[in-house]
Amino acid sequence: MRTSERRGGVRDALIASGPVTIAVLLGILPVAILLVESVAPGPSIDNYVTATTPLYRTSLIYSLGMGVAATVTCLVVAYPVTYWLAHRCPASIRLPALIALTLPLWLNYVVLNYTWVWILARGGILNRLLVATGAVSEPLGLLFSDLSVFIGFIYIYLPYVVLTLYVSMERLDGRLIEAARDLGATNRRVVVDVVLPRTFPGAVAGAIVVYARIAGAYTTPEILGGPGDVMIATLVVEAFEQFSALGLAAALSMVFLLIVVVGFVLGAQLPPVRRELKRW
Amino acid sequence: MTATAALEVEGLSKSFGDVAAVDDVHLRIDGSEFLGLVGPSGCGKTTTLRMLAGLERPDTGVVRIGGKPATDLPPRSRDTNIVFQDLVLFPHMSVAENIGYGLARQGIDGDKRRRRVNEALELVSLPSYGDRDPAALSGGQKQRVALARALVNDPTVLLLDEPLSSLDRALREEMQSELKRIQRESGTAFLYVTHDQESAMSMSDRIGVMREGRIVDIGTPEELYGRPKTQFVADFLGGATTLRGDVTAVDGDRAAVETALGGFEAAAGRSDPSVGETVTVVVRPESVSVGEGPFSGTVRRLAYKGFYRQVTVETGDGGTLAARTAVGSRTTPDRPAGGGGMATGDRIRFAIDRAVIVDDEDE
Repeated sequence: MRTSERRGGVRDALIASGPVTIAVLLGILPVAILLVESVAPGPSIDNYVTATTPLYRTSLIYSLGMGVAATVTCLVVAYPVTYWLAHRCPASIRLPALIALTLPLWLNYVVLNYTWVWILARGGILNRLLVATGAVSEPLGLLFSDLSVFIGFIYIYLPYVVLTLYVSMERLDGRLIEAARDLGATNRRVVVDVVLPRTFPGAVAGAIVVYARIAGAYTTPEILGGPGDVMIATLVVEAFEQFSALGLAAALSMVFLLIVVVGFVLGAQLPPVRRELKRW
Repeated sequence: MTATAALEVEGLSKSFGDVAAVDDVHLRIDGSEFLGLVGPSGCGKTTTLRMLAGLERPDTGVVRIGGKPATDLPPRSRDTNIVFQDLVLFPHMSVAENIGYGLARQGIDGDKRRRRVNEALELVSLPSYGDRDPAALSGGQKQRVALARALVNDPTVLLLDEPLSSLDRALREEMQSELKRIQRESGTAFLYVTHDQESAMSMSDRIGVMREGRIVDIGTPEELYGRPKTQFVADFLGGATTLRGDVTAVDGDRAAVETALGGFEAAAGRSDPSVGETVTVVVRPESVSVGEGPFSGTVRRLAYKGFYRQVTVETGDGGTLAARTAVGSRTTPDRPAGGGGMATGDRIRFAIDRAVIVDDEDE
């Protein structure tokens, strides 16, 4: 190694040490503290034992499942929307359309959640419309349910998925679609053979951005949720605030974190994901 | 013999806004013909090609492929395949998967597909390249894969959109002879669109020249080069000087023309001149002999082109004439090589060996 390269290496390490330290301090340190808290005093695994009792187990499964359902729905909605934006939308309205779609990002999420209380309530806009048009005879009880929580998640997290997927969609060469059509592909085949493979990175990025946020969300189930299935964040806050069971709260958080991380690692084993990561 | 034409086009037109990109185009390609479609950028040749592929919809006109009407059919239902200018290979598929894509869409699978893919690879001289990643191929190899991907489907007409434009000269010439060979071996009709008249001339059985959306001339390369229909065609296919003159005599397919330069003989070409008519005469640079002759002029510009010098001669009436002199070829006593020390500003004499009368352009 030439002297200049060696010096460059030391300089690079020094420059990198700043962000790395911050990453460690802000990211890993709190998790380490949480870990310590979860096994204190003792160390004992009592908190983890409590965390696996039916109440918490059900909530974990429900939360992770809700995360998957909402993430997948966001992707399913985002695909046709971003395709239209990137390949069919007239250039003059593309930017305004993009801004309009991602407007929720600009707003406070508490406000965003409350708008759906307003819309879905028995006296709310949706019900008034349904009753007025005669679609239903009595207002529907849509609020404070799994459905309202689900809708809230889609509304708040769709913009993230749209943005990340749009980047991939924009880079998709429209001529690949023309080539596929020329070689005999139907629209369905074009999607499977060209669009999906070429936009896969954007979809994965979008999923990574929103999945853990949805599964571990607190505000949306608080505002829009009901007495039915409870999401894990609610129980963590409950353990913390109501029962002052800090250890249990920490243990629940650690279990949640572990499952999400394991999920990502498993997902990274999928062949298409591996190929993509290799490129990085 | 009136065999069914591979491709018939009648009255094809398409406008984008106010601009007529393609204006009343008629075309016919027979069974295993190599037809070149040339013209300057923006002349409508690519739009025409895309309409034949089904990637654009014509405003008016009829397209028949192999005798069957195809005007409104989507690309996948037509018996054509296209090789794009930038090749557009599927980056996420291997070479074999690329080539086999069209076959898979037709429901041809397994051994049958494998066999045909391998045959296609053999045809384009890339045997056992099937497992390669398209990104790892050179420009020329990508070309061949794109060609194989289209040809393996055995189309009635293969449409090529300037596929050689991104290659360097040596590779381009190699690919030209390859393309010609492949076209002969496969027996498929080729429609080759390009702005490079040289490649079109060397490969095509017939050439169509397009200008501003219309086909202005169509014929064999020899016909179009030696007896162009209009000044535009003459100039586009190899450069030419245009002169105006009066016909003083006509004898069969030759005529005597009197121009501002002086009088000389010209071929009647595809026009039909009569005595006393004012016509446009076209003179190619290589048909002008510099050194001695009945005409004189001043050397305005000299451009060294390697194996020849392009000489721009200013004539008495203020017009210019393009001529060529050989560089470094064997000298003859009366024709010094290398321009014989010619310099800008020299008075020289020259003769016009060949000229042809063309039709006047109608505006």
